[in-house]
Amino acid sequence: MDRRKFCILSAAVAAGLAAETALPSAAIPLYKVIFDSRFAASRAFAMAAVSAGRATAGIRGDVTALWVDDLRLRWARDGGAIAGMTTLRSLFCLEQLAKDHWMRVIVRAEHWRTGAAASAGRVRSIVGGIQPGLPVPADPRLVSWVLA
Amino acid sequence: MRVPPGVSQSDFASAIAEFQKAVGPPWVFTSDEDLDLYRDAYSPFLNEPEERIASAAVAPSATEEVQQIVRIANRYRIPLYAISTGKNLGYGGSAPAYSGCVVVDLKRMNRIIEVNENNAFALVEPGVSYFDLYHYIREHKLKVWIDCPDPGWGSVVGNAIDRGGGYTTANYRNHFDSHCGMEIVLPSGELLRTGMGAIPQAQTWQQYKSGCGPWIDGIFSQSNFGIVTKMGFWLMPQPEAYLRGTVSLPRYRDLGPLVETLNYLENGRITSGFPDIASPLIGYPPIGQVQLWNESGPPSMTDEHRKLLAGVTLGYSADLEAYGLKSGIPYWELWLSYHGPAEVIDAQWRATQRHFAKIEGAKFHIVDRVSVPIDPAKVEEYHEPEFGIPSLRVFSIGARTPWNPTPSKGHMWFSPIIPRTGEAIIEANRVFSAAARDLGMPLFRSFTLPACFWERSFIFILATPVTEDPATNKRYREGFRKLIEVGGEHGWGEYRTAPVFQQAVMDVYSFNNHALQRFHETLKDAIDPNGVLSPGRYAIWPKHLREKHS
Repeated sequence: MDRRKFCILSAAVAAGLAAETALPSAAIPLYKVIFDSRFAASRAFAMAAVSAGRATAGIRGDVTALWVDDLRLRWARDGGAIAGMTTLRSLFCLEQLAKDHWMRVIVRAEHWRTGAAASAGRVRSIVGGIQPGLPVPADPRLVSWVLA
Repeated sequence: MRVPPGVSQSDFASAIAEFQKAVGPPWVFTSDEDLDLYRDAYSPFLNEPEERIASAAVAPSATEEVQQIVRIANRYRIPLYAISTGKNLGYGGSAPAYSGCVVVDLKRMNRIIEVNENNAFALVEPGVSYFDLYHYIREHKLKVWIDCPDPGWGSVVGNAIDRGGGYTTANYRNHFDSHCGMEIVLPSGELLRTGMGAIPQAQTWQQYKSGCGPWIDGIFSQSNFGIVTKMGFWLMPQPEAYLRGTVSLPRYRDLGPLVETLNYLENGRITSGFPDIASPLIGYPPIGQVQLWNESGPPSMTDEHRKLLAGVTLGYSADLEAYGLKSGIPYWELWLSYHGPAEVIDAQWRATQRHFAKIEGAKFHIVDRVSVPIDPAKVEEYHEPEFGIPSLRVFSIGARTPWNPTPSKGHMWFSPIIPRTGEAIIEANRVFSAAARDLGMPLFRSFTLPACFWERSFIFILATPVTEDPATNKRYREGFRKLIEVGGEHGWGEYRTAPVFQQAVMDVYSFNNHALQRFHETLKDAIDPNGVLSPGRYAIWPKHLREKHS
């Protein structure tokens, strides 16, 4: 699939999510799940993703190595949606880099805001493997997201 | 579909169709979702009516496509706004200066045309990022360094065109100064090459800057006279070794002699690495250590020290100075770096110490002495851009941490140029801290030290936060404009600014009844009579928009 077609597909998925359509996790060809190993909630999120058969990549806040050694090469070639539970700053960096490939954040749950549960649930449904009804980690430093 | 001001729906539709024919339909963007990607992530107008928004975006892959786009724009009078990778955060990002422009997104033009190790130069297209060029050099095992800003995700061409800077040695830190040769698509669609590039089959395009006759390169920086499609840069040969040392001075009054001695050493090329002025006593870190502080927290401070800091004026009190002398905490700490053969940099460091030893109480310390390339496993111990290594770690600054629990949504850089003297540092603190206090702007702690990106002058650079509250953002924007005026009253002008402030900044450059602005407009009328390229960029408006916007 070329990058532009991938981006058009992702936009359609985003529209489906916005309409609260239930989507199976296979609806988005998810490349990797990103977690911040400094945070217990993020590590647990990654373990659940692994149980769902997802590839994961750990960071410690800084996304430079993830970008340079992985996403830079992958996105230049094939694109690839990613999901994650990280700090807002890490997501910000990834979001800006993704714009170079006409990708965008399609779901965002800022855990410090009330009402984050629904969006966090959508992230989980895409990642898979996470118990429904699990409370959103009330860590004011974290955000869960899908970028496609 | 959004339509540029002054353009009819049918003309715009026709232009879009022609853009699609020129670059291919997948590379013309008109949906709201796609155009959201071209909003300034740090916009001080986010979600407000005055936010600058594109009407469409076009992403060409080659110079010939850029030429076609410009010709189409002329036919239908479509305003364009060129961006390279759109990462100019703090200075406007990817949003146009004039709402309704069609963004010409050059990131698909990402060819590294040549990197020449022997003559240490590169020729690149505007979509090449610092990361791209750095990794190309590494993959090809070339012994040259780039100089990059922090973060390093921006475009090599874009950063130089906006006159940004970096962190290695003086002759490479000023990115526009270190360029050599450009290729430009003019507003007519015609192609121009500058310097020696104006000779067909030129053999020295990236080796001799000025060619013959008027040297016009400068007019294509911070302007709207053309779209740069290729640019050459001089690169630093990989040094053999690196030394970083500090000079610590105990008294407040030592600031003047510190700057004078630094000027002598830098202008004489005894030191040429990035000079970094800090104050351990005031708690002001060197720029190179800020991200380390933010990742692991600032050094601890006694309660007594903290209390004394609350009583300073312009960073000084006799009690604080006495505490520093008693505790061995220097008032000033200058970080200097040296690049080259070990025997040369050792000699330069010895000469540096000899000159600074004239200041009573000066102490010296070698922080690092390493061979280059440095061990990749140890890169994170350093501020990577000082080794020409692009990084994104700077984003830890402003992250939500225990010592920064309410980070901002972004910032606008306030960056006046002040003289290279100790007196100017103190005067700038006096003037701007008083103005910021009156305006309710959260810019200052007790004292601010300038950055030394450029030789011969200082940048007194401060970040004005962008918040989630539109009323606060409005107050900060008005305050920012007022600070620009205050700077101008003291003979200090900005070196670079976001589109929202470009008119205010250029108004300060008012010598002889704004002769500079009138000259820019004369050029604009001659070069771009239809006013299609980046209207309003650096306050250069085409004739048909001038009266409304100037």
